[in-house]
Amino acid sequence: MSEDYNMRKLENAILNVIKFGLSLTIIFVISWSISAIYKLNYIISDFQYFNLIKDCNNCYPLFQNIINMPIIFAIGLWFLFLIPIIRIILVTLTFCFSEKKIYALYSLPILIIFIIVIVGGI
Amino acid sequence: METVYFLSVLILSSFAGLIGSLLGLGGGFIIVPGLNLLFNIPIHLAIATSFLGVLVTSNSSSLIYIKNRMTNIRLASILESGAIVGTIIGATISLSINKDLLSIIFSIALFYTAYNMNKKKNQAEHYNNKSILRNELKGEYFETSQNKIIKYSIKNIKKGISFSFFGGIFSGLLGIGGGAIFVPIMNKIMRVPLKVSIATSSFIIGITSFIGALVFLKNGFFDPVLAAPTIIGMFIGAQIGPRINQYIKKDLLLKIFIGVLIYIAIRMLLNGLQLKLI
Repeated sequence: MSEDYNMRKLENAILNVIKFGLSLTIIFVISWSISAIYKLNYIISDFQYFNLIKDCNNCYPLFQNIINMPIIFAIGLWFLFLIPIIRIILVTLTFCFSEKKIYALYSLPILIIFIIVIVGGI
Repeated sequence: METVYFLSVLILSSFAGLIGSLLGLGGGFIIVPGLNLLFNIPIHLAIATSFLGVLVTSNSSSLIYIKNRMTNIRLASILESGAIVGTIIGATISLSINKDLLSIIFSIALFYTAYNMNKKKNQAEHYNNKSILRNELKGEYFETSQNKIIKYSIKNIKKGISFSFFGGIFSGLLGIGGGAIFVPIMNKIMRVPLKVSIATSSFIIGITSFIGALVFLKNGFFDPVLAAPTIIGMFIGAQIGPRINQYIKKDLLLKIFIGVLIYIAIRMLLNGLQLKLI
């Protein structure tokens, strides 16, 4: 398969990821905004904490801060955060399996840094 | 949440998204002072919200730029590798460094960049077939305003990575997306056409702003009441900016870009000198 074909496939895959992630982010954020403006407290407050994660005092700060958000908003934010993560995975995989593997040398460290920042925490 | 407050932030962020996506800067340079000065939002919260907004702008504008085949993903990956390391280093040392001095240095660098971009504004678009054949990293895009395909080859890759590393450091230290650095790096050092530089910069800042947002979120700087209208507004603005970019002439775009660079430079200089005029 030609390099151009691979790049077109990559571009389409990235476009689909962005479309999917961004649409869901906007839907969830708008839903939360409407509930906050019209004070639909059963949406903003009651769903804010699940019992399972409510007492997560020993959680890694990033996750703790996200689960302490209103749940509908947090779901939207997760979809937004998933876009760059999936994007980097797609780019790395494409470069790894393409003829010009040299580009994988650039994207692979980014993926590793992402994992370190998200899981390890900097 | 009050409707007036929501709509005010929405309008501000729509404007930031439009300008940010039109110039590949993200829009943090409008949203941070806007929230801080107009809405009295603490600066760290404003920066954290800006990072989220820039992430949305980047993705939203990339949708159109990639569809129009203006984004060079290979070039973006190369520059991201330098920028991401710089962003983390910058964000990590940001607590212990004198930010005022850094702002002054950065503003001088931006003034120089604006001067340089104005001086050599026709140099970047020139290419010849020999260089296209010699260099592996090349690209092309359809220039709607001239109705023709523009081919280009990318030069000074090593220099570009080094500069993007320093760009990342400034981005992490100052809480900006980094587009003000990436666009001149690509356009002036790597000889990439301005519109491709803007599209690729929009793509890159999605990564730097994501890292920035995570760092601030981890430290608890987040307010959904502020973030919601910012995200929605910047999404709307970033859908309009790239559409204007396609039809706007290169020279006009360059003039707008230089004007915005000078504005950011003045603002950073005033911040560095601790003067609050704008």
